[in-house]
Amino acid sequence: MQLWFGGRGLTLVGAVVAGLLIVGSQVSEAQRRGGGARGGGGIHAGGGARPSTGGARMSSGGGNRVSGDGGAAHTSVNRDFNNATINRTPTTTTTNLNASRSATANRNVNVSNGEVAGQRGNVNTGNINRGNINTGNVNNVNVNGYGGNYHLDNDVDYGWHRPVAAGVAFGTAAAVTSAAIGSVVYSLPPSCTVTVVDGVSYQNCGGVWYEPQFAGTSVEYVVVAPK
Amino acid sequence: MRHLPPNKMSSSSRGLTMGLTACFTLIGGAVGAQTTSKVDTTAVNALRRMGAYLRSLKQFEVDASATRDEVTANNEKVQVAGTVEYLVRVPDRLRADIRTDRKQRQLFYDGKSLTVFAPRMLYYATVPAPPTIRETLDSASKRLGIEFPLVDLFLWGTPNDGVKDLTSARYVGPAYVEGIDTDQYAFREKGTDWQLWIQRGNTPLPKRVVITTTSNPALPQYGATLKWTLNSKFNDAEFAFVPPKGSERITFASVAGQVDKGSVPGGRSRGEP
Repeated sequence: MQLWFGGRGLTLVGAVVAGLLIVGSQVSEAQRRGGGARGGGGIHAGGGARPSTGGARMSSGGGNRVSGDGGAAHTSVNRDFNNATINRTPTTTTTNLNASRSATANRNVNVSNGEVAGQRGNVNTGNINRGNINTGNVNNVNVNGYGGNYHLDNDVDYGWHRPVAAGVAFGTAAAVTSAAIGSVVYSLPPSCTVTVVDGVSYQNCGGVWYEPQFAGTSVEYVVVAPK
Repeated sequence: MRHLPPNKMSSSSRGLTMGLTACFTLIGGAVGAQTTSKVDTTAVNALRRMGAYLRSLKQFEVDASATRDEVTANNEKVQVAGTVEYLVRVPDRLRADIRTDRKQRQLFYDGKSLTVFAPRMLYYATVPAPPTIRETLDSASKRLGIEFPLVDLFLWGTPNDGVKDLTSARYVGPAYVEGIDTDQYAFREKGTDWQLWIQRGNTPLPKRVVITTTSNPALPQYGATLKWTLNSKFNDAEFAFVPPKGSERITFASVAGQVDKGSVPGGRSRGEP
């Protein structure tokens, strides 16, 4: 590049570097905006309410994730089988939309120009400036998916709380305090007893009765009146 | 900067102009991405050709190896890996075996009913289903909140291929994917950037898909590499669910055994595979 640019290349390179610097400042601006939204908690609400949670377009679950996580990547591009228009759930959260546009625009710079340097800048600012590393997310993520800010949809640990024989209930107090009838949990307290009543399988955990059900492909437990 | 060929650099002033143009282009890209996007017919035609080929397949197996970003409330991305195996016999048999780092599910459609089975938890739920794969996938999504991964495989080549939603489509270049020559394409639509690697030759199959959810500030990605088997013969038993010993039948949230309750339940985690 330098060879065929000759002396003029310096001017061009200088101008482009200036451009990158300007873009860099815009990236920073986007980061600031994004950071501000997160700081204010806006992204949390927005992230939950927006279509990208996989949910919104088709399963709707993303809209109101109880545990408040920020969504997930779509596993498909198209989701509507109707022959009518492909109406996707519109993004309604303004804060979120703006943040998203900023991020997209920044990425577009990289794609359209193929600039490795620009991409590096974007990746660095995107990750480090967002401060994920320092905000203690790792500590906040509860590996077992019980509460916290990230619900792990998980059946790996299911053996821990699916008894094969009647267990001795403990932790009863904790279970009872959070066991309003109709409420939904994604994991059961330890030591539950399987009881089948009228063909329906219940989990009796220290006197609180749960009925398992599928929500999409996830298993959840609804607190029901004792049988 | 290779897009500025040397013969354009005829004078230093032009070089400066070009440099400034490049500079403004960069800025423009940052603030007005839509103005520079373009739907390239070559890319769209490749997508349509692939779709037509997919729709010509009467039975196939496709095994996908995938990763998916989940986003925490703090906008941290957490990756979940997994595999999906589809057995498909058009028009009314489908089976999906889904195994991620966290959960395992099997979905059976036998032409009459749809079953979701959690093999480790030994729970299953069965509901009546429409007479075709296509209607069943649609119904499962709208009424049960079940997201079949890579459902595009059943939509490309139909009127719902999403082509009219594209705001950008372009050819990226040749790519060698797991021993197969492919062409890589990049597409963009509102809220989603996606890439497709289409096998070259007479079997234009999607070999890899990457989907970036740009409507989420964390830009989570889903990526899958696909292996295709086109000459499989499936018997009915492979699509029929037989409850294993010890398994228990449960219901779907809010559906409660009904096929159609008219709305998708909200307020709960879907936890798509």
